[in-house]
Amino acid sequence: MLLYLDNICKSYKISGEKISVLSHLNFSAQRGEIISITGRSGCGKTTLLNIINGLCRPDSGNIFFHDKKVPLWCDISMSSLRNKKIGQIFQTFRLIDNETVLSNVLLPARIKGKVNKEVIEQAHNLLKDTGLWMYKEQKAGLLSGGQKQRVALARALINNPEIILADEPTANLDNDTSKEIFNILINLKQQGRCIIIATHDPYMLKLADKTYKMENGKILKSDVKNTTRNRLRNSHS
Amino acid sequence: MIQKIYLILKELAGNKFISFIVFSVITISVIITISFLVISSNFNSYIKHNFATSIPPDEILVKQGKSKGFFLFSENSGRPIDEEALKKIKSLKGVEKINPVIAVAVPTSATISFFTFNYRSDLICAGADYKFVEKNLTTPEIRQAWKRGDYEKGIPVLVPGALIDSYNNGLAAANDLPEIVPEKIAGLKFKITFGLSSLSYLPGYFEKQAIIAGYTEKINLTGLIIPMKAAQEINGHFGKENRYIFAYIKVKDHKWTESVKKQIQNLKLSAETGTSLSPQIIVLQRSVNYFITVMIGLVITLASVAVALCSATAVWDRIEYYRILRILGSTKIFIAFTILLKNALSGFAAFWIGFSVIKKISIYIMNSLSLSIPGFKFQWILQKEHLFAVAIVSISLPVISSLPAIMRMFSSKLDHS
Repeated sequence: MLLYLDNICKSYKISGEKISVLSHLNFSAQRGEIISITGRSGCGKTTLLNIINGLCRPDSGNIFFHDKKVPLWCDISMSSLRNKKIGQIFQTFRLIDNETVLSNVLLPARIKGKVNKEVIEQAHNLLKDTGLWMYKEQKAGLLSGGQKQRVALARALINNPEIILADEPTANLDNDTSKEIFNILINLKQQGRCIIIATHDPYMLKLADKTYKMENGKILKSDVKNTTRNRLRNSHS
Repeated sequence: MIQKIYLILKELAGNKFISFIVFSVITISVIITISFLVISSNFNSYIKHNFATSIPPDEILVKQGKSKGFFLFSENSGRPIDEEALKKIKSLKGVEKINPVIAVAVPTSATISFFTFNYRSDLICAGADYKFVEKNLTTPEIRQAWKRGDYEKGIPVLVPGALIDSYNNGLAAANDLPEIVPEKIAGLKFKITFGLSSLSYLPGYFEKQAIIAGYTEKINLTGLIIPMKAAQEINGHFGKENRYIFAYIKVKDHKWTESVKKQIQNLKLSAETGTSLSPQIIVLQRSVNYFITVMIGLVITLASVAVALCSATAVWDRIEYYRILRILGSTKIFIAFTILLKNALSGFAAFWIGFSVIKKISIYIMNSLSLSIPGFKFQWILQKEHLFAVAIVSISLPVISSLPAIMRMFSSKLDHS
């Protein structure tokens, strides 16, 4: 098992009132899967992704990565996990606007402490794949929303993560750009990466191997497309 | 590692405007603070040299007893300080240590050579113990020579501040000769002839190479100070008795000073303590020092407020950058380290530049302006402890100021965009 969330609970205090966002939630993910999480706004999709990447800590429950318990309290371990194993794409991009596209893409590698010729070549390839090669020396702040999302995607992939978390990756994009992003994600799936997407996009929901519907902090329904998953498994075996 | 250094350098280059303000505030504060410290040191030095004896509060200067003779030249001088007198003083209650200064009881002269010109002058010499003058000896070689009595490279000689002052203000001023800077005097070589002066000579007189080991404010004598062993050997060579010019008595603490002074006076010896500053001068000195301390405090307080606000703003201004770094896998420790290192380096650079600027300005003032206050010469006087304290405050101020912002930043949640 690549990732397993066991009995996760999370609540927030809003105006002194405790509001439960995730309630005794169990979740699992395998290599080579695209998992989409859908549900109404405020149902806990983003919180679930934030708990997986360690940006927020659950009130109770455990996370297992490769069947090993993740020490959620340890900043060094969680930072290392975020840097090396998980790539993240946010709805708001979270790029450093006054730095170049290439510099943004290389940032996770710099934090990892490894930027050699191969990594720079990989960054160039990612920029070519995402159609941003000509913008590599441009400041990220000057790009359009779709271009920024593609930079965020290239940045998420620079350290070759096993899991890619994408929070509404196509929310701000036009149809053509969304399709480009989908194609890249499908390629990643074929490379054996696990992709977890919080989305409302019907096109993305169709492509997913599993679709979880969330409501009131719980996973209500799981829609598994066996054919797609089996095809992928066969292709990897 | 190179990538970590790259990220540190990026942090150093970040937020240039606020960093420049922090840097400027610290630089200006350092310049003002050091100016006040130098002015304070010059003022205290002026008071010390013109209004006070140099005897510390827990020391007593013992001299030969006062003469009771009726004539100008009398055999009946006061009680001398000899071995017996020293033994008695040592046994007095409250006495911790005795540092006697022995007289070289033979005619002595010194020859200083400038190229082909030789200048010869009579002088007096006295011997002091190594431990008493240890801090005034400038080099390890000279300290060893003084301690061991090894004079192969020349007899080490200390020049009392009083002698330099009397030369600068007397002989040099009257004859248009260059003044001597006490701090630069060490290392000069000349010759001393023991047993020979312009007035008399003793059979077996001899000449010795001498090297100046530094200057001292401890011994108030218009003569040269040589090692105690050398003085004893010279007296022995000419068959003279060892007599002490004076002795510095260190008491257990200043409360004992008056009691020990009275006991010494009862031994028919002269005893002086450092009470020659008039109460008005003491009040003036305290008032000036208090004013300077308040001004330094004010400068540090204003600088602290400015730097604290700027440092907090600097961290706050880059909070999204730090948040992105954390999301992408930087640890809290690394981010805190880069911020603190940036602030520490900025503080140190500001201190160094401020210090260099004020030193240059002071030297320019010393060289260009002739301050014609009688008995006063503006000097670059800055104690190492003060300089160290200014450096520590300059470095720690931006570092400590940024801590609350760092802690606040780390307590904020990463999942809030």
